[in-house]
Amino acid sequence: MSADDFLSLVTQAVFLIVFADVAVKAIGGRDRARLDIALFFGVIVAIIGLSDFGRLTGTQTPVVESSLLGLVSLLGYVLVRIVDDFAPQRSWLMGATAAGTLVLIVAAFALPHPAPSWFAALSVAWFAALGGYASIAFARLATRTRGVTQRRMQAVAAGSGLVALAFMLAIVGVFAPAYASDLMIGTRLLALAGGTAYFIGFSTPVALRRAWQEPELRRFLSRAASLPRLPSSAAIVAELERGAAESTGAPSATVGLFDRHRNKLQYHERSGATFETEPDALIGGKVFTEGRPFFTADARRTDPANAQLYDQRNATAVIGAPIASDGRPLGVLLVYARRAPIFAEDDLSLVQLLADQAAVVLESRTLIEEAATVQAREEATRLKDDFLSAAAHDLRTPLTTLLLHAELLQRHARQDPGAPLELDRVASIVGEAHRLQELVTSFLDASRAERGQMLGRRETVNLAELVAETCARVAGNGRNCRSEVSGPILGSYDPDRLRQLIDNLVENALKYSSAESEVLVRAWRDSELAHITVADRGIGIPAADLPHLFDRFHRGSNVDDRRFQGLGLGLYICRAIAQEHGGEISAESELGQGSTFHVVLPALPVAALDLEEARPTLDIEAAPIEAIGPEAAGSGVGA
Amino acid sequence: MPERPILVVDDDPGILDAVAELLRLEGYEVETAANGMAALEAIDRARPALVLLDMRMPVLDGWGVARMLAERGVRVPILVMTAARDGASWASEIGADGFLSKPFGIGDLLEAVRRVEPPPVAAS
Repeated sequence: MSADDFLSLVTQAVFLIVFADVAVKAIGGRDRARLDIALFFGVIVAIIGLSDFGRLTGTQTPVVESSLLGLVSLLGYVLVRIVDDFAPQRSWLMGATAAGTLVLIVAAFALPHPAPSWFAALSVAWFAALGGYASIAFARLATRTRGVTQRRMQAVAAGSGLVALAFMLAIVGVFAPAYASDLMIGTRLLALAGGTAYFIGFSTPVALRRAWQEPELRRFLSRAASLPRLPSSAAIVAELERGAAESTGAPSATVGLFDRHRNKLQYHERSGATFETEPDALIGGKVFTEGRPFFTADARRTDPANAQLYDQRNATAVIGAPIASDGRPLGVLLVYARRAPIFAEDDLSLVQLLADQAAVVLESRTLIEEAATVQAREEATRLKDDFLSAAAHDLRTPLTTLLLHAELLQRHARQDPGAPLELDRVASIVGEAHRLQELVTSFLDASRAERGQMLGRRETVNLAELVAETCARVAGNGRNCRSEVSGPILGSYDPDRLRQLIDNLVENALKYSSAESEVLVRAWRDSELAHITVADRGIGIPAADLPHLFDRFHRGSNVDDRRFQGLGLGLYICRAIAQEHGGEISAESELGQGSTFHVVLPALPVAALDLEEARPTLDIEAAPIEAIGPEAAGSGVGA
Repeated sequence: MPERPILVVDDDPGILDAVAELLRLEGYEVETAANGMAALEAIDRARPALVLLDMRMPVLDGWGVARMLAERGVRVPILVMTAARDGASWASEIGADGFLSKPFGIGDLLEAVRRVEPPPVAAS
């Protein structure tokens, strides 16, 4: 056997193998693309067979010659059809190609035998032109995809180009018989290379697929590793979607998560909204309930009832894979391809791999969240422990005094029953008992604040009065408190809690300032809001403490525990009172210069209040307008 | 030589007063101090047989007192009085001879004091 024969034999074998493979796939899949591919290789095998028949018999019967030329023309058309299967081509182009091919086939049989060499050259040139076109088209399509599909497209582009070149060399051989045998070797080499490229493109060996899939998978995995630590589940899902789209070369992908409690599949839209479906609705639902990957080249045809939805999302072809962990369904991953990918099986397996990875990411996330819940519970327990030990500590000192003095009284009374009662000691016991009472009250308040149950019955309260009263009482005890109020400031408040709030702030201000410095309390109204500020010229609050000022048990880092007794509950309770009234409390301070606490509370609109206050004595319908004048309002406010 | 006193140190006047009174009733000589500085001064002056020491005090706390005594090489038995949970560890931290956990009653106080300093013969 000559080298030429061997080369020819190997080339034929390669094409036969590819044909056998694509024929089996076409029988299995029976869509137009698979049938076209099988047809393409069928034609090639037929051409090989016919030319071998001619060579073996040494004769070129007219039928064999016409058939050969016709098949070569047909081959180009089928190749362009395959391009069309990947990405629809312009219809005039398809029409022109079909017409040209038909003319050439008819001519092949109509022309006298032996066919003129120009006609043979024309037929081969026709194929070479269409092959070249297909090659470029595949190469361009390859740039739009990724991974295995991209490599396969590139191989098919190379195969088409090489086979087209092989045919062109053959034409040259027709016109330059002197070089025919050398050119023949080139033709055979190109045909073998083309066949191999087709083999790689259309009958890709598993090892190659794996190798080509790896970089995409790696890219996805390297990103996936850090995903569970993203701040929100929505952010994780968005990243998974981005990664899946990028890895498959698809324009977009979406993840549907199964909400077990509500039995719904939830998709996060780009806009941030949530799109919710029954767990078996749409293609996502089909993939989710069936629990296996699914591909459709035309989503609208697969699920016509929801065609509009797919149109809105630009979804023609959809590849879906279930996301499951340990057989427990978590959701579904859908990848929207721009075109129907003929190599769907590769994308399908890649999407399933990505979905499996997504399951790992989501499971990790769940574990992290569970760990955070446990941590939060431990933190709550620790806080409760702190609370109890702080409470116990603060109760111990007054209890010691109380116990010792009471025992002393008892001892003295036993020793000398007739002796006069030691009033100092009794006063001390009563004082300590009050201190204990206050402590217990603040613990209970803190516990109520924790549950958001600070407030009792609300009524219309004049805040201005409350502020002025508090300050006057403190000033009566010889402390320096001045109030500036522009009242009345009316609101619907719990009067006891509001008094407690103002008391606490004023007492705090006094506690942390020198005896002679003044505490200024202001209250005013600003449209719908009531404002109270309590300003002192005391020790101030370090900037680092300000953010935690209103936290439970927080005590200023510059507060000497021994000089300033306290639990660190006062401001916590103040904030709870303000917030439960729908208001807020804040503080500004400069170390060594003093602090200002600012409370903002919702106030009743003036007009509404006047009416409300006046209502018992006023029939609005019947009364003349003048009745709701300044006198009525003034008396109603009761300033 | 006159009886060496017991020094009671606490910033809470109620406790200071009651403890001092109780110990006097038991026949002890008693000195008092409301903070660590006053305590050091009293130790120098009165050379007490025992110090009942509160730990958290203004000006100079219990740890400060213990450190200053160690620096000066003054050796005096100390009973720590504290409301904190870790009274025992605080006591061992400053090398005290014992501790009294607040709240304590007369019985606990006298028992702890007697263990370090037996009551004067005159009272018994």
